Amino acid sequence: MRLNIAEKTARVKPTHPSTRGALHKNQLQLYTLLAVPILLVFVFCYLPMVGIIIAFKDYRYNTGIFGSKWCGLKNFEFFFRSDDFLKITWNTLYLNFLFIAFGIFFALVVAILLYDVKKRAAVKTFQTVLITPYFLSWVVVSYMVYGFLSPQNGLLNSVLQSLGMETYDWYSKPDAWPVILVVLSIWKNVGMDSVLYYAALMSIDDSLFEAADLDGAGRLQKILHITIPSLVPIIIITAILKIGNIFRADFGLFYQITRDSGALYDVTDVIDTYIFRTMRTVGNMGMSTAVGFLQGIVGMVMVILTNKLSKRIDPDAGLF
Amino acid sequence: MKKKTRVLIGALAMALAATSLAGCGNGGETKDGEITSLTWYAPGDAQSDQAAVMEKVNEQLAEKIGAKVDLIFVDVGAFEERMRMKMAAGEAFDVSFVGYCNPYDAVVKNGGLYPLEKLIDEDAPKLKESVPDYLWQAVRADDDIFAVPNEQTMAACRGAFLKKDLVEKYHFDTSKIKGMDDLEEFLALVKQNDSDLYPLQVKAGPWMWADMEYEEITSGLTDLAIRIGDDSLQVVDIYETPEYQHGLKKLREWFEKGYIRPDIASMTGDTTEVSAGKYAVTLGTTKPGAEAEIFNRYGYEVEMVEIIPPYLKTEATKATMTGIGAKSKNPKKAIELIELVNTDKEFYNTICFGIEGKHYEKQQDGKAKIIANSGWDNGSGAWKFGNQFNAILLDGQQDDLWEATKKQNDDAAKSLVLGFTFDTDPVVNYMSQIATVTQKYKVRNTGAEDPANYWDTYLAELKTAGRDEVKAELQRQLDEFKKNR
Amino acid sequence: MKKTKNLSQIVLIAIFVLLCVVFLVPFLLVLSVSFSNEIDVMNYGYSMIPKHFDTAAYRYVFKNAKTVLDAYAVTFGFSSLTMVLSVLVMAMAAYPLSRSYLRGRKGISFYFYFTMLFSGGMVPSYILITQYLHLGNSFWVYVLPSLVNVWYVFMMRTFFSGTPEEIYESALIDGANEYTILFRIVLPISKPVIATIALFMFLAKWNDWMTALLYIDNQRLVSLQYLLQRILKNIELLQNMQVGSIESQAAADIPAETVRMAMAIVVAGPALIVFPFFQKYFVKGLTVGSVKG
Repeated sequence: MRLNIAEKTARVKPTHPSTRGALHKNQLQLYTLLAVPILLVFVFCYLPMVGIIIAFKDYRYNTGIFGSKWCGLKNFEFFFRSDDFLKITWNTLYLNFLFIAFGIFFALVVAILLYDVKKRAAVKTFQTVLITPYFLSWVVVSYMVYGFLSPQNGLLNSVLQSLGMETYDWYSKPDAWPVILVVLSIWKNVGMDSVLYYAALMSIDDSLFEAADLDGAGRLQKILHITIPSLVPIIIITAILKIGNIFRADFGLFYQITRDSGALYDVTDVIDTYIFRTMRTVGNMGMSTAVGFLQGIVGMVMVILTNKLSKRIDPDAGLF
Repeated sequence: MKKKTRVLIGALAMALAATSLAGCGNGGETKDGEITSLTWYAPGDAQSDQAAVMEKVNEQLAEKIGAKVDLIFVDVGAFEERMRMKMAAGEAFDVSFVGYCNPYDAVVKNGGLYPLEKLIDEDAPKLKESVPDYLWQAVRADDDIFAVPNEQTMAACRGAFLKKDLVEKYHFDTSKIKGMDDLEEFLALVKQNDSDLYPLQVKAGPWMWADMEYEEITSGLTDLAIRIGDDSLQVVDIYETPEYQHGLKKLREWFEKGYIRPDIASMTGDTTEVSAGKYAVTLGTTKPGAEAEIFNRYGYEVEMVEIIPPYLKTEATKATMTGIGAKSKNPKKAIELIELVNTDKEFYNTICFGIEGKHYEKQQDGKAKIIANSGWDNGSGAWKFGNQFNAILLDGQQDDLWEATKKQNDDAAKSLVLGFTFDTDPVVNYMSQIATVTQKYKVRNTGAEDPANYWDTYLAELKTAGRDEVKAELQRQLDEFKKNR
Repeated sequence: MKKTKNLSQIVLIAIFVLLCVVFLVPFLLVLSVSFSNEIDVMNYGYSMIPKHFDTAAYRYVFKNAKTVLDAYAVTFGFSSLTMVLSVLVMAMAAYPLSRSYLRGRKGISFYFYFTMLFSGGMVPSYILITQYLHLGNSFWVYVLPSLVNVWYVFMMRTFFSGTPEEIYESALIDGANEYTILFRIVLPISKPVIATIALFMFLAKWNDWMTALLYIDNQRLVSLQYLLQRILKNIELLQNMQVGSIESQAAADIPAETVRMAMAIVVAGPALIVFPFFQKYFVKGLTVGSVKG
């Protein structure tokens, strides 16, 4: 039975001899389609990239991008020379890794379970409810979280108290924060993320399930041998794209939800909040561009590595 | 399918055409004798009757200096960002508000403004005369002047506001309050008898204790300061001053006695509490008319107690100013406009308050009453445009409001570092580390934690972050400043 | 057999109902607070049912009803336009990239991907858009720069390459060109993913406030989120002020806590109503057999 399904899910390559010649003719048509998006990306993304040189300049408004003086790597210095460099880099990578891993896992679980719900109306309702948190900005969420965690009137401390346990000063004790942040990140995004996987499930060929049913496969077997394998490409691509941004943090989450509480910095201070603080005190455009550039470089290295790795799993699944 | 691509291409082409049309019409320089068009950016929300007011304004402007102005409001929250973009992109605007939401020092440092000293000397003698010398002195930067201060309350006294109903209830004699310690008796009374109130509002930061006769030099960056009146310009760290140390101990004591709200360490804003009158005592800037202002806004009466006498900080002179864009094509006309708005009461009041009978009414006592929802109201924000002392008095304001305010400014002790700006470039790498440490400990310094528990670690962390290097650099620059003064 | 199926459905639905409660409670809380009295909120904290029903927050948000309605219209307009155009443009990129025989496929993929990592920052974009393209203060500034979202291009590409090759082969044999395949075959059978990405684009634009912040002076062209951010910013300014300072004179009297919540409802409400419209496309795509037939 296993073999059977594996055979069916295996991708069919275009091997038909008569189509080979036609494919060459089609190159032009494909490039015609690509022309508009390539042009748009060129204009709105590549042209402004000249601005990256600001990272290496002592940028002054009246002399402009090209007229300002070069200053070497001076704009990068503040970031590397800081004692906080290791801490904020670690926090960013570690927490983003947790967000990506748990985020994908839970979105998958929700999508797969939802796929099994037979009542269409129920599916629609559940999906709608699950995406509601997506619409609440971090600021609003931060006020609700405060309602739970506030040391004085917070719901959580009231519960602890009524259970005869000691109350906890959440905003000055950093221990619990990685968990709090991961839970919130999942809560806010799982609905929208699962929509994507749900859409992917829609394109699985029903005949695969029918064949499996005939072979007497159980629910778990179907999930493991049909559902998951057909989702692998989309999971890989999501993971790669997210890993490319692993050096960038969700500012609202880290700034608003923690109420920028200094006592939590040891675990919650990330690159983006650190830069924000720098910009507020002595910021110049050179410094923020420099850090953006660094984040891009790291992202590129990470992506090239994961891309290689993912090609080992599935030769067709890579990004490029 | 072909139809679809054609529709798409058509849509894109249309979009491009529409935008190139919309983008035209950026006025350049105009010839002599013609009316010069100027653009002016000010913070605030756009108002519905702007067209009518601008017609009147431009009528006066054409007649008086041969110009017309396009006044564009950008809301306060976006003002800094928007102006930064315009300046960074080298956009050719003429006049802009500079100040608390478009910081002068930063803008000058980045080269966003046009140097004015020569222009003022040559083209705007009346303007030069209308601003007191100490203000011109205060706004000097880079050996020039880059914006004209809009006069308003600049010399600040620090003090406390006590809720009047409580003062009366306890027959408390506010005249005996000379310093923060003297508040204790009042706080105790409130704690004992008004359990639904927080006795004292505390805002984390170097000024949480009002008894501090220091001037912060690097406001918001570090907590380095000089003592008011110390002519040797000796840099001190506010946190290490005896006053702050005393305040810290006292706040801890008060926190334990329940005079300070217990959730102070995780509180981020308390507007609601302030407007509901939940604090018996708040600290702030005292000035003529402050009591009336609070009553008008929150609806409760307070008694104002001055703790630190009026003092003019360098920083305060830069809160409200008007400047000219570095790339302005008409700087000469622009300075004429700034001169006019600062010296011509009729013009200034039209721009601030609109048209008499339509946007405000003159009362019998000569004061103006703003007509609600008339579509033009810059009522309390007249400092956006120019010298507020030229503003007509509004209903409820005291008769000598502006005279008293001006007197407070003029008579106040002046900062000994008027015109000094700290150039952070040599120590820029330390600044964000210091900010991190400061933020880390800020809320603890409100009494929420016993300072004995963390004070030594705190100072050690500040030291590692480079506080001493910054202090030395600041001292060096101040010594230089002293030499050239 | 039937019984166990029913049982598992019941368990499944129970799980989701529980999950929905967890997700819905905070939202209902926001709704409740938005209709509460500011003073109650301060005294008693948040509660699921307003102690005194009060619309002050909404009255504040809708103080200038016309401005808000204008913003709704503008935002709805550019969100839908961007959605339609961008899905089309992104499909035009994703489809060729999904064809393994496209020459230079890796290079072009990288060309797109590169822009996700690096950007020149806001200043050069600002200069380009205002001084060269003259899009400042125009409706199109909301649309044109956001037509290609590289992330979604790759999502689409992955979906397109997942479609069984036989479909393409048979079409090519029938003499169809690539345009026909994209618009007549690929798009129709990819309805779920197209709907998903359209939804994402719509919502991303619905939440857009940076564009208005940077580029729009004309009050009739500002986006909804920007309008609301403005209120939020005013609240923030108010909170950092001291009595008697300049900022305090500039800020208005705002029921801060409840307005914040009302704003969330004002933004989310319409978007939630739009969602079911997209859901109807989340149905099984056509199977291989039906295309062939």
